Amino acid sequence: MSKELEELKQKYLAEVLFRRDGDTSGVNYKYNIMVCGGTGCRSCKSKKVQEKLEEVVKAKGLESEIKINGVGCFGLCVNGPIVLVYPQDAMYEKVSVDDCEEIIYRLQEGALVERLLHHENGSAVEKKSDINFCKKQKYVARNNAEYMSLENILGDYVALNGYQALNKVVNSMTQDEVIKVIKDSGLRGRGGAGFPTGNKWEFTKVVDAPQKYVICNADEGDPGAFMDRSIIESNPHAIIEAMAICGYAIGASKGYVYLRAEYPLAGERLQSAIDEATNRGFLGKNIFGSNFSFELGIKYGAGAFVCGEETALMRSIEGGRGEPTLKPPYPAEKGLYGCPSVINNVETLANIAQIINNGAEWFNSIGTEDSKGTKVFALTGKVVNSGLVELPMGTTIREIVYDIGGGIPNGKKFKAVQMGGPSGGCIPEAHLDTPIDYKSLNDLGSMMGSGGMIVVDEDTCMVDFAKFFLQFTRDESCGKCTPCRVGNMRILEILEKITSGKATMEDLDKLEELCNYVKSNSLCGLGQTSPNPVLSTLKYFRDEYIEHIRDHKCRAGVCKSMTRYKITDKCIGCSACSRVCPVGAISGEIKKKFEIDPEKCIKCGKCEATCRFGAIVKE
Amino acid sequence: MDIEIIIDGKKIKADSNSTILEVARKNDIEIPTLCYLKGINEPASCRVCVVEVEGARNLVTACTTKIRPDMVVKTNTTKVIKARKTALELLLSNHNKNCLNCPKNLKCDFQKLVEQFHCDTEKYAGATTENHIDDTNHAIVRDMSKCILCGKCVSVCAKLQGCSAITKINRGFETKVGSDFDKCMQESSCIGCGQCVLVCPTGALTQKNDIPKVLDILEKTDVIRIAQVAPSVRVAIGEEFGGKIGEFAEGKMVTALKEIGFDYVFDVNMGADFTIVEEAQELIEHLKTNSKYPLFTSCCPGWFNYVQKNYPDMEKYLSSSKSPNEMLASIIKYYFEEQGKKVEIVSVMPCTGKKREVFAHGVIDACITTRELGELIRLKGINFNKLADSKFDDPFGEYTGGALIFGVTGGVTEAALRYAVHKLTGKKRNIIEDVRNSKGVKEVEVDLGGRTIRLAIVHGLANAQRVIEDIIAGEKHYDFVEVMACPGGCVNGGGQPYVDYNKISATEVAKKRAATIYKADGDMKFKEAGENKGVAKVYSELFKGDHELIHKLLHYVHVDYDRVEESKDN
Repeated sequence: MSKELEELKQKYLAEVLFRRDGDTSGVNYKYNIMVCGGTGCRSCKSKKVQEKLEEVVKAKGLESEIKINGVGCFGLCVNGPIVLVYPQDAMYEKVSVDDCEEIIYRLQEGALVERLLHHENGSAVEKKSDINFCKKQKYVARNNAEYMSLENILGDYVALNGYQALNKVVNSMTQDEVIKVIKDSGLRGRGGAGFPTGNKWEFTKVVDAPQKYVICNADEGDPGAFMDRSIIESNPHAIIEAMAICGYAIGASKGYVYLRAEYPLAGERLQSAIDEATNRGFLGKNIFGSNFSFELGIKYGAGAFVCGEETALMRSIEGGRGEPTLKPPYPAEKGLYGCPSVINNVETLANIAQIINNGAEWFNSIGTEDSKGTKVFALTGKVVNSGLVELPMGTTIREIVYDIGGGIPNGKKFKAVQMGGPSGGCIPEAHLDTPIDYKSLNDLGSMMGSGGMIVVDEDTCMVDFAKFFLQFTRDESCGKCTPCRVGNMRILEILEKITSGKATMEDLDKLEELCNYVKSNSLCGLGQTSPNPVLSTLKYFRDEYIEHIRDHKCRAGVCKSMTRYKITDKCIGCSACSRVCPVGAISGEIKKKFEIDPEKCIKCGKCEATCRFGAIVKE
Repeated sequence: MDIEIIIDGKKIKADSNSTILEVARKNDIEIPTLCYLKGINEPASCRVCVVEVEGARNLVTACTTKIRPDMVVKTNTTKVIKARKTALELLLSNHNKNCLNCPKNLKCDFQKLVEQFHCDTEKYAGATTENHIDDTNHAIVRDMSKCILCGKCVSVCAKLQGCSAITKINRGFETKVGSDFDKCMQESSCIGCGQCVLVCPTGALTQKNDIPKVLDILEKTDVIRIAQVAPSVRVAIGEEFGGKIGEFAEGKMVTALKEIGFDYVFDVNMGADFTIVEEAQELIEHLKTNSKYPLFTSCCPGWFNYVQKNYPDMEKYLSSSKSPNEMLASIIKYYFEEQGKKVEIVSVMPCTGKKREVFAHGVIDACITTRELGELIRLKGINFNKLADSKFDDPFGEYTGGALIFGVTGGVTEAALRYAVHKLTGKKRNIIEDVRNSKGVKEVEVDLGGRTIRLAIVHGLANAQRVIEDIIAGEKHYDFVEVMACPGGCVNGGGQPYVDYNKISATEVAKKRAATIYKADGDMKFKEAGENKGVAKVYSELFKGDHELIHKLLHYVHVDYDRVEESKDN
C-alpha cells in the first residue's frame, strides 16, 4: 500500500471505526453524535441542529467527552433532520434546535430521548440497527456514507480503504485485467438501460485514439429520484476514484462529471473533494507513482431532463444545445468532442472501487442471475418511510413497500408502484411479489430506470397519474423529433380529454395507437419510453380509463369534472362552508341543512376541508 | 466497396458507405424527407423517411441508416406508410394550415407530402405553439406558425454562413426557431442572405414580398419607371417557367420587363463595369500602402453586413466602391435628374440581402428577387416562354464579360484583374482560370505589373469567418479578398428560384448556372470593363472628369444595414 494512504488510514481509522462499529478502543472520547448533512436534512435546518449541539456541548464543557460530526445521508429522509448517537446506536428523527439541550442532558445520564426515536407500530425503537427500514438494507453503492465525517471526508474515505483500489489498479493491474474484473462482476449500468459496464469500458478501450474521456452522468432528472445526489454529497471520493480507475482501464486522461446545477451542495462537496484529491496526488500527474495521469472537472447542466440522455449530455458539455443524436456512432467510438468516451451513472461508479477491492465474485454473489449487486431506490409517495433504500437485486416489491417502507399510511389501500420515472411504468398489486431485476421489470412494462419508486394508493387516479408524467415529457422533450415533441403533447391532450369527461371510446384507441407510434418512432430513449406510463396504466388499469369515459366516474375522486360535492344530513347549518366558498355556490338557512349548487361549484374542496362535522362528501 | 442489398424486392449493388436513402434515390425509389439536407442537416428528426429493415426492432430512418451486406429494406409497406402519415399528421397538428394565404402554396414540400399521403389535417388537432410573424428584417419574413422544426435553416445559417442568427430555442412542445434572446430579425445577427429561405420546406421562411411596391410604381404616370437587372437573374429566371437549370434567358427577361410596363430596362452589368473601374483603382492605391490587411470586396450585401456586425474594426478595409446595383442606380438618377426628369427604379436581384442594401442606401425604390420577378410575370399574364428576345436599353445596357461573371464566385476578382492587368501592363488577359472554381477558399498569386499580389476568393460566410480570423491573427496575408456570402456566389443567391435539393445539390445548381455565365462571357467580344464604351462615355460626358461628383455618386461613406425602421412586431 502506498505510504501516504497507510499514514492517512492509521490517522483516522479509530474514529471511523467508533462511528461504524461502536468500537471505542481507539478513541479517547465517549460519545459521537452524528448529524445528517444531506440536502434533505440540511433543508430542514440540520446544520443549525449541529451548531446548537456543538454550542451545548461547549457550554457544558463536554468537548472532551462528546464529539459531533456532520455525516452523509442516512436515507430515511422523510424524518429528517436525523441525528445518530454512538455508541448507543440511537437514531433521533425530526430533531429541532430545541431538542438539542435534552439530547445532551439525557446522554450524560446514559439515557435516550424516547420521543425522538424512530417509532414502529406505536413503540420506539432504541437501536438504529433494529429499525425495519435499516435492517434489510445492504450497502454497496451507499457504503459508509453515514460514517464519514463531512469535515474530514478524504481522511475518513481513506481510513475505510479508499483509493486503495486505484493504487492497486495503476500499479499492479493491466487495463484488460481491470476490465475483466468489472465484466466478471456482472455490474450493469444503474442509470436506466442497464448496459453491462465492463463491456462499455472494453468497447472504448479497444478504440485507438489519442484522447478519450470518462464522463460521470450526474444529471439525475427523474422526478423523485435523488440517490445520485446523496452519493455525491456523502461520498464524493468514491466517484472520483472510480472515474480514475475507468480512465486507467480505457486509456483516458480526462474526465467530466456532468452535474445538475440544482445540486449546489453536491457540486460544492465534489469540487472540494476533487481539489483535495488533486492536492494529495490521487488525481493529476503520475498517480501513485505510476505513469497514469488523470484530471477531473465538473460541468454543470442547466436543468434539462434530456441532458441525462448520453448523447445530449455530451453535446451539452461541448457547449451546444442538449439534443440527442443518433446512435450509432456510440460514445465508445465517437463521444465527447468526437473522442471515444465512457459515460457511467453515479451509482454505477459507486460500485467500482469495491469490486476492485473485494473481487468480482464478491459482487457477483449479490443479486440475481440477471442482475448483480444492489440497487438504490428512492422510495416515495404513499408510503410510511420515504427515503433512499439500497437492496440486493431480487428483493420483491412487496418487501420494499411493506417491510422497509412500512406500508401505506392512514390505513389506505395500495394501488400501484410506479418505477423508473417518466420512462417507467406502473406495477399493480398482482405483481407485488415480483423480484426486482432488469428483466422482470421490463417484462412488466416498467423499467429499472434510475430507481425511482413512487407508491400510490387508492386515492390516486391512474389516468391523472399518467397525465402527470406526460406533462413532464411534454415539457422536457428536447423538441427535436416529431413523435416526441408533438406526439407527447397530443397524448397528453387525449388524457386531459379523458379526465375532463369529454372523451369517447375511439379516443382510447387513438391514445393507444399514438403511444405505440411515439414509442417505436422517436429518436432517442426519452421519446421511446415516454408513453410507458400511459401504456402500463392502460395495461393494468384499463377499467379506470373506461370508467372515466363511459361512466364519467373517477373512482379516486381526483378528476374534478367527475366529482360532486354533496352536503349530507350531518349538516347542522353553521354556514361555515358557505362563508369559505369562493364562488358562492353554497346557501341555506342557519341551523338548517345547506345546499351546494352544482352549476356554480368549482370543486375546490374548500367546504369539505372547512366542515367540522364531516357533513360534506365527495361523490 | 460495393455490397448487395435488397430494397423492395430488388437486388441492388451499392457502395457500403451509403445510407439507405442514398441507395434508394440512386435507384429511383422514392423516399420522402423533410429534414434531410445532405452533409448539412441530417438530424433524422422529422421521421418521415422511415423504412422497414428486416430484423430491426423498429422502423429506421433511411436518411441516416448505413446499408449492411444482405440488408433487406422495405420502403412502402403499410406499416411504413402509416408511420409516415402519422408523422406528417402530427406536424400538421401544429402547423398553420391556411395554405391558400401562404406564399409557398403549391411550392411547399410539406404540402406535397400531405397531399401524397392523404393526411387528415384534423386528426391530431390540439394546442398550437404561440406564434407571430416577424417581418422586421427587410430581406426575410419568418412565420413560425408554419415551421415544422426540420432544422435546415438553423444548420445552413450556422454551417454554411457561420452566422447562427437563428437557432432552436425553448424545449419540449414549446421548441421553436428563434434568434439569440428571441430578438426580432432586424436586431439579430441575420445578414439577410436568404440561404435559409432556399431550404425551408414550408412557408415559414420567405423573402419579403415587394411586388405590391412594384405594382404601385408601375401605376405612376409622372415618373420614368426603370428596371435594372443583376447578372445572375438571366441564368435562373427561365427555371421559373419550366426551363432547365442555368438556362440563359436574358432576351426574354428583358422583353418581359418591358411588357410588365417599365419604361427602361437597364443592366446592372453596366454598374459592375463601373464598380471594376472604381475598385481596381482602389486596389492600385491600396497596394501602395503595403497594408497588413487586404482590400475586401464590398459588393455582397450579406458580407458587408456580416463585417459590420462581427468585425466592425475591419469595416474600413472594405472597398468604398458601391455595389454595381447601387452604383448604376445613382448614375441613372443623376442622369435623368440632370435632364429634369424624375425616375423610380426597381432592381431585380438574385439576392434577398439586396433588399436590405436598397433600404440602407435609400436610392432604389424597390427591390425584387428572381423568384418575385417570376411571380410578377405570371401575375401580369405574360407567357414567358413565347416571348421574343429584346436588348437592354441605352444608355445603360452595355456590358462586358467581366461584368457578367460578377454572378459567380471569383468573378469580381477575375474582372478586376482583367482591368488592372490591362491598365498597368497594357496587355490583355481575358481568361484568368486560376481564380475560378473556388471550393470555399481559394488562394491565388498573380503577377500584376511586376508585383506579385496575393488574392483570396471566398464564398460561404463560414469560410469568410475563418479567413478573416486568420488575417486578424496575422497568420495569413492577402492584398485582395473577394467574399460572396452565398456558396457559389450570386448564381446561388437566396432570391433565386427554388430547386428540389432531393434531386440536385445546391453546389450542382450553382455550377450549372455558373457554366452558362462563363459560356456567355466566352462568347462576348469585350471582356474587360475598360472596353465598355458606355462606361467611358459616362465618365467623360456625364461626369466630365469631376472627381468630387464621381466620388459622391460611386462611393459610399457610411451605410447602416441594421437601422430599425419601425418595429411592427416584437
